[in-house]
Amino acid sequence: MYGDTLFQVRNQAATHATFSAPHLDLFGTADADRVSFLAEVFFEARDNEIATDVERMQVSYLFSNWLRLRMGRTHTALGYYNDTYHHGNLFELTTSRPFANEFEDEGGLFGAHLVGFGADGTFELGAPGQLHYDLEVGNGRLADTTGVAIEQAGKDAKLVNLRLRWLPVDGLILGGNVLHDEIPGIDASASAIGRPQLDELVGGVHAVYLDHGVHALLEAYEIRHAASGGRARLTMGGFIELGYSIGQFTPYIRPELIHFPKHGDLVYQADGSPYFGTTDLVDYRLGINWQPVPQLALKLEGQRTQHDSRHQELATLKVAFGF
Amino acid sequence: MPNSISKYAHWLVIATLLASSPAAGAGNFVLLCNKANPVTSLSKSDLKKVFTGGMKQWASGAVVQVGLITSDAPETLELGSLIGMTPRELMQRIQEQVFKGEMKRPVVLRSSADCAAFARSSPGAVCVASAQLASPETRVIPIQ
Repeated sequence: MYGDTLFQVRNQAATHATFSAPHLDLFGTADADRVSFLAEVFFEARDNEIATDVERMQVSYLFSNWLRLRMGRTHTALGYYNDTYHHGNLFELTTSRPFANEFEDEGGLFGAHLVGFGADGTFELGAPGQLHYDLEVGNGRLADTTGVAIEQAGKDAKLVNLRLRWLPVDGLILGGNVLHDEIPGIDASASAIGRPQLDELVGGVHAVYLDHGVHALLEAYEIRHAASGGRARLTMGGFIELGYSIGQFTPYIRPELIHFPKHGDLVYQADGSPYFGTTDLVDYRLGINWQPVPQLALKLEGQRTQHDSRHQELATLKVAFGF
Repeated sequence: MPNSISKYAHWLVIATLLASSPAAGAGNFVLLCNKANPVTSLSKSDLKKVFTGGMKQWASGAVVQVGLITSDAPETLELGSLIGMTPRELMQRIQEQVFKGEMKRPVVLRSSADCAAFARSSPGAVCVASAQLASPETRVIPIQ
């Protein structure tokens, strides 16, 4: 069981200080020899009401170290952050996810969840270390990109994702991704916002070092959206998360940048989107994570988020727990 | 003369008992697995993979099942020193890996005797126990 509660102070908002107890995460696993099951049921506050979601529900079968098959609802194996940190904030160094890696309904740029099928495994290379792969096929995006195609795909084309990682020494991961999907169009006559069908291609790289008290994550990506016969729009971004543990304390910083295309992206910058009218989003986090016991983390964080010339400052005290 | 021999023998017995106590030192612990597991040795790096979800299956085909004493027990301290982590860091890493779905939940053990029983009964078992508890029904994995 995981959860978190916080107190936040911010400017440029109708309410300048608030307490929040927004998340409760019930997590369960079971296994029988090679078969494993995992489920994550999440209770999340929205507009002062609690919504329930099954965030992960996956069954997997281990054939060998180089082949495991899984099926169900998982987190897309995209970059490092997305499927390392799930809904339990306890394991994250910061108070929340990078903007790009937010979940679909919270302004994230990627399809964070995948309903489909995946294979992964590790090959021992001897002295050069290990090679790890993830290959996934799933429903992919719906026309409403804030949703997840849990039960019905909104199209016949399927998302395909490949991630390769090289693990040369303990703690070091160097990886890259290629993801292809199709985003169904929205009929202009049926909606205030019309949009053609789009081809989505995501490429990304990540470098991670987590050992000897060092916490260093670097992720960079490029997302290409193109309508048939139309000009491609490129969104680029990334973040660096750096921390160093001194006993129970880990001070950290995380700068993040997202650059949207000059002429606007048809998915991320539609009217009503959090990125509408933004060309450059820049977010800085500076904080300290104190973990007095493994089950509890207290995080004090300052944040400045800049949408071009507009900016907002936030200070957050978060208590995250897991038992 | 017979008295002093008796005194030396007395101290020799005490010293032997202390040396063989589980808390006496790092050299008194071993990594145990099932006797059917043909693994001949593990590097410290491989040991870390085994205990943090990086290695999921033994060469024999058995699925890795880690057993742990979840405290600052001498066995856990010894395991931590072998893989360069404190028991607390190890527990956190395991908790994260279980949450990610990369590792089975460890079997919770309370003592070296539990470890020996676990290694005897489970084909994929691996755990740290007092060297005294190694027996022909289990296998000791040397660490390189």
